[in-house]
Amino acid sequence: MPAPELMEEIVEEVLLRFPPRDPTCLARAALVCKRWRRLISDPGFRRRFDEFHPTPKMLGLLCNIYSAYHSKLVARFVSTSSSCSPLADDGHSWRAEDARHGRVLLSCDTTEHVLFMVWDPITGHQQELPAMPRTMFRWRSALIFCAAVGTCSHLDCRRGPFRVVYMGCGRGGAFTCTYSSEAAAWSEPVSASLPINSGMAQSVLVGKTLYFKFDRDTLVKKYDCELCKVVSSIPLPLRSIGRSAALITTEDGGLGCAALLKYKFHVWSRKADYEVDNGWLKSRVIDLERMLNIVTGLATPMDVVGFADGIGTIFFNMDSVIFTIYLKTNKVKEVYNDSAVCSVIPYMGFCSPENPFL
Amino acid sequence: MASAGSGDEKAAAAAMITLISSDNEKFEVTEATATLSQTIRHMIEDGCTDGGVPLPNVTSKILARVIEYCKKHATAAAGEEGSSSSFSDAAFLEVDRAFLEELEEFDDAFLEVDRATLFDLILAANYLDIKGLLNLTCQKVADSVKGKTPEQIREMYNIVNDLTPEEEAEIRRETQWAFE
Repeated sequence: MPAPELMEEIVEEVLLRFPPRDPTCLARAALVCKRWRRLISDPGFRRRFDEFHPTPKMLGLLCNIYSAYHSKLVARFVSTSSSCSPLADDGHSWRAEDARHGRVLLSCDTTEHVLFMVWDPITGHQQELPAMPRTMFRWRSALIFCAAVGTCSHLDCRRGPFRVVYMGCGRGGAFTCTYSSEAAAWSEPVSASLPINSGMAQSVLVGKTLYFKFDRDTLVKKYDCELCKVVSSIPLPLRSIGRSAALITTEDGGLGCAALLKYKFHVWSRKADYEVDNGWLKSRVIDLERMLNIVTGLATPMDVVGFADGIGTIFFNMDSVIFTIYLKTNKVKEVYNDSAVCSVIPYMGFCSPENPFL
Repeated sequence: MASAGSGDEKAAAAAMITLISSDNEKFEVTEATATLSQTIRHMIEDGCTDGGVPLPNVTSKILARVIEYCKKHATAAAGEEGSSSSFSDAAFLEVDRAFLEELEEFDDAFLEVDRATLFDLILAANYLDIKGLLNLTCQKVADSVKGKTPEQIREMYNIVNDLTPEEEAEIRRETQWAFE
């Protein structure tokens, strides 16, 4: 008996249920026949596929680890899904700056320049940006985002235009430069009120605003993605939480902040019209002491090292172990064990494969 | 008390629905079972189920299987509602887990069919709009394709490759990362 035919009307229903974390499945299916290829390349199908698998997932982790050999931070990519390729060793010791909308931003210093690389762990595609001159001060930071913020669903924009914000400090003070992939060029520096000596920036995107904060700094900077500049800054809920705080997005998509104070996570959401706590409303306190059986006084200090947007998960470091806490359920999980991890940048994705046929 | 009795009978009769397969076989099912199908639910709401619901796209063989699925899952839905009030939380969770496991076992056994039957079940689930069944059956097919080469997929599902070598080369080039 010949194999039964897969009827036209159910092919799409089946293709919709292909694993979203493994884009190779759809890519292979496109090679089956014309009809399948047409279906898979259809924008309508792509939308339905993304709607069918709407939850963002953490596909990998970029850990910036202090390397004594290089005496600087060097990124290590820890893949948490089969769809990510490893970071190829090209002789540079890249540091991970940021990851958003399917892309990872890496940077590296040479004697005279700062190099930037945009890397897509799913396709392995790498794109080097024009090098920037090194500034007088050693610190620098950079962020990346899809150029169509505000209109894009970011479900599958890894091939679209993007922006990179480079922040540094030169003789003329602190500045930002914005790279546009369409123009394939950096903008002129725009002076910005940034601290003269800062660490790396941790950021969240809320609407068309990129909020970021530096290590140790007590101010949250507001970068307008359309105006391409820092427009204002807002103080953190408490002055004392600079180092132990991370910017987060709240469940309703607004700006939030989480900080570790004495083994307790304090979570705030931004309410600009709120009079106390600098316009932040404290929404919850999560007691880690009880959850992790910490013997007070014996435990080493804990640091917040990152936040995974879209899945409401904070990364923190305790006793050389990186843990995550899922804010919805307070579930704590050990994810990585390395004493020298300074920051964690999650690589998030909906992991619908890119669509090369469109 | 005669009037009350006839009222009960009426209620019981109203809760039963007759489904008629394409080969004219009649199946009596409870409304709770039938309404797992959105298509039938709408028909009931519109009051067009008197004299039975003809399902010209579904054979008796497939309809019997679909009803088997709906019966089990309708009991599941009713069981969840019923048990929540009569058990303590812990006991409820126990029951719940045991029941979910049982349901999973049922689903696994339910999918032990040949491919032709599986496809017919998908078509029926699609036509009758039974979300759970559609999901279950389509996922089974999708999972069977996982890790297979295009050639293997074609063979499994009797698909003729009508791509020209040029088209094939083009797709392979564009999605090279998927084949490394």
